Amino acid sequence: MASVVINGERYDVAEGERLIDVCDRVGVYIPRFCYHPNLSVAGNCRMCLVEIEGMPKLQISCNTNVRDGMSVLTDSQKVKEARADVLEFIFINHPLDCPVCDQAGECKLQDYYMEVGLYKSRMPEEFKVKKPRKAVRWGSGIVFDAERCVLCTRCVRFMNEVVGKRAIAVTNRGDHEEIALVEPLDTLYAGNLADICPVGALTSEDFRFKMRVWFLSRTDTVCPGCSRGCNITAWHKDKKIYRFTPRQNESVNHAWMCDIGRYSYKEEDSSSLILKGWVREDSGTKEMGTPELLGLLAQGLKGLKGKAEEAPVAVLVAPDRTNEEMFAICAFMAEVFGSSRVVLDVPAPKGPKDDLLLTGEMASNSRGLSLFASRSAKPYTIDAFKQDLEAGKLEAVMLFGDTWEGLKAAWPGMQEAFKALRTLAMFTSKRKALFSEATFVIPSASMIQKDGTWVNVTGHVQRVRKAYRLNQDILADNESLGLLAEFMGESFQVGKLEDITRRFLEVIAGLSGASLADVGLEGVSLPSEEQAKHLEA
Amino acid sequence: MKKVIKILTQNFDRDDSHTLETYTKTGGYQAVRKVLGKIAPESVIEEVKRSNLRGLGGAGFPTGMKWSFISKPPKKPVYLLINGDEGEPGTFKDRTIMTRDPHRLIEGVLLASYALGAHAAYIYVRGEFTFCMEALGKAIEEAKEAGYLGKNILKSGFDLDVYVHPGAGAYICGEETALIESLEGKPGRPRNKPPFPAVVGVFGCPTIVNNVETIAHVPQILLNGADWFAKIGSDRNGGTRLFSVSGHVKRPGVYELPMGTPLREILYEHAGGIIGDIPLKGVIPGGSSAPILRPEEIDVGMDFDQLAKIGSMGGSGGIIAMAEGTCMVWALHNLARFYAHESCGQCSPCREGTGWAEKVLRRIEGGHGTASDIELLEKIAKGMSARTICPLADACALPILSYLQKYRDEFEAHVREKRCPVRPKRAA
Repeated sequence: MASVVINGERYDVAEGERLIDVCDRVGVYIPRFCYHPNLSVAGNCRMCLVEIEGMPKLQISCNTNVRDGMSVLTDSQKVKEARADVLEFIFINHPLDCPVCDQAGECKLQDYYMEVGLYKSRMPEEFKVKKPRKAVRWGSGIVFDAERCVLCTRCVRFMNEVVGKRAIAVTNRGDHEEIALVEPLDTLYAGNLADICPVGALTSEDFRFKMRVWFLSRTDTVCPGCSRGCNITAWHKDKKIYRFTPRQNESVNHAWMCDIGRYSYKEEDSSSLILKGWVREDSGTKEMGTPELLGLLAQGLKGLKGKAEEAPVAVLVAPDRTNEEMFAICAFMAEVFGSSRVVLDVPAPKGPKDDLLLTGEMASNSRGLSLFASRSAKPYTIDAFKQDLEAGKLEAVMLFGDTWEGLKAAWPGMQEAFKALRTLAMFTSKRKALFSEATFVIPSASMIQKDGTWVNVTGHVQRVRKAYRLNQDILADNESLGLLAEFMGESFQVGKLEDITRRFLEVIAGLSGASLADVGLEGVSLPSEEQAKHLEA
Repeated sequence: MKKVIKILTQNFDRDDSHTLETYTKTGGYQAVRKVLGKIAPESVIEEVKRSNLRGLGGAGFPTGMKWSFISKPPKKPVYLLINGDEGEPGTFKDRTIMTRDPHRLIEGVLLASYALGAHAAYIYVRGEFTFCMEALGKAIEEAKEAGYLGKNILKSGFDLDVYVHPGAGAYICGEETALIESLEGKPGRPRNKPPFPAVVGVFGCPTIVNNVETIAHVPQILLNGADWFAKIGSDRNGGTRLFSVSGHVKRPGVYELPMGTPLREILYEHAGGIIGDIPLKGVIPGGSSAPILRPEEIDVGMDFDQLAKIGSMGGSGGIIAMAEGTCMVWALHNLARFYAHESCGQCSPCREGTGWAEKVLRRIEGGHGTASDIELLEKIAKGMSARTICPLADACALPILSYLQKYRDEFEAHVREKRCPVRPKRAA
């Protein structure tokens, strides 16, 4: 332990920790361009200079390790002057093109100018160093503008250290220095370059000029792309998502996300989603509101209750449902039909896999489903379902979720087999997930339209947050099942979301009393199998 | 004139001064025979400490002290790097050692490596100095054949290989951490400190970087003793150093003189005074980065401490004399252009500041400056001082501030008259 004094306040921190990290944690803000907690220290922007007692020169806080007894000033006159001077240097060859720059609103140069600058330009435009490379398409969705670059080298270090590819380099010297692409980016992580660029030098081809960032609302949620579950922020306005950006979480994704996940926001667009459900009748499909649909479905299901020893009803849950939805589905089947015919081992589609983030398992909650299934003495598997279907034991099947590609690949005759069913109800959010055999389609809430939790590949429980609901007909599966039970005249109650989460965590991890609030922004790690055994014993 | 003491230049006037034969005939490699395997490395470092030998590349850091920063016993191989990048404008001394007496340098390298426990030493030579690399290469071959380099040197059990590495002519590679980067094959950009090179240097190993002239002094120190060397110089500045005298003097050249020799003596006795006997206007005492001195300040003794006391610096020992009739704005613009060109571009204040200062000076010199430009120049210089990884920004800022302080009227005259008042013909 070390005791440091920052601006007169005493803090106890770990000896050797970086001063800038300590300041970030305790809420003393230090401006910076080049420092990034997940990259090596470059120390070149000189914005983070602070005054340290006993040192004649100002020191950069990113390259200073905390020692016991250190006394630091981050807001002295000397520090303020240094920041203003350094900022002015960075500005002199920078274009004044904020009105046409897509970074405006989330640009460090703009922020710091308002904070410490506010001077008149003393560099006539005609004397600026001209860097003619503007709006160069670098490929992989990144656009480069040499003039706006402040040479912080974050992008160079990201490519070298995180991706492991020396694709970006610094060329020339002095005020003619520029960054340059020396080989194609050609990586699934290129989108991060636009995020870490503190200015408008690297921007996202996909996002640029679509929307000013200050018009957007932010919702902190989790990427649905693969079982890593990278922490993200969804940026939206008027029930439309404009982009996903990664959120720092050291136990999951550091500060990065892949481009597959990044651009998966497009699937949340209303044009890709089912906005109203329908029922297939002899004359064709008939659109109707969700309550009416559920009413019709309830009538059909009511007749199946008690028809055989075990009601001829089965449910398939896709590996993208939230734990709460899955829990509600299982509870519904158990209490309404006394049945355990809930398939929780629907395979996730295969995808790219690497050492960084991509797991190759392209579904968000495979782990949550399998953990829950493993608590059951005799899980109802997909093979058992196939047998029941072939043996004609089933009359109605309900499908919950969007991710069926993995199942289709493993079972090519699936859709053919579904044709035999009298009722095939799909609780689905995405148009592309629909099967033509469906007799009922109930619009289900997509990930951005519901609250809940997912468990990622390493057993980390994380919160999915609702940003908006497109219309009243769209319901989360736990909500629609509550209605369905009511229409069937059952006393079954799904309960509040918080209660489901609490019960789920109790069942799978013995985390009694844990709530949604405990999952928080960063998520909670489930005990490993050994720890769990220890807990049980 | 005082009695002339020659240490480094004692053989310079011989035609064959660069050969092993001449060097051994005049007492060369005797220090190696005296020290290697007979005196403990720690005692060698102690002796160098007591000699008050200072780093003659420019910083003037006590050499023995620097050597003692290598932790004993080292956990990794130790490297000795010799800085022969000599890029400071007005400095041309190391090249004379490398061409005229390369064996003195090699013997110094051998002794320093022995003291540090290094078994590989690199001599990093400025890219343009092909003749130095040629001379060093030949000398290393000769020394190897004679058993002064290689395995089991003089049967002492000590091994050493010396390599010559060409730089590519960048001024910044004279800064020790940029030199290390360059030696590793990377662009010459200074590193953040800590860690210091003595802890993590070249190839991630403990490293000592010393100037050519500094190391060439080592054999005589160990042969004649620290006291002898310390007595030659001034207080805390041992021995002699090579002064490169250039500019408007009658006899420009390299002069070996004891530390603390008055600048006036160097200019008017050794260098023969100013051409045409016109009055002196200003003199740079220690390479282009050193703040300029006015004629009334030249009685200063030329060592690191005395120069620091009057606000300048000993630097590389490059003395540039400027006679009346020199335009100080032009002279400063010349320097600023150099630093703007040589800034590696890493730190924002230096990357942008050096270029900005150059542009403002170009404006003033051309008669397009305004009164606020002089203040702006001062602001730029102060803004980039002491805020960067390496001292290149300071090396540009210090002359700017000193010229502005000591010749301000001349800058103001440029702005007022919208032309150069000193050299009217060149005015815009």
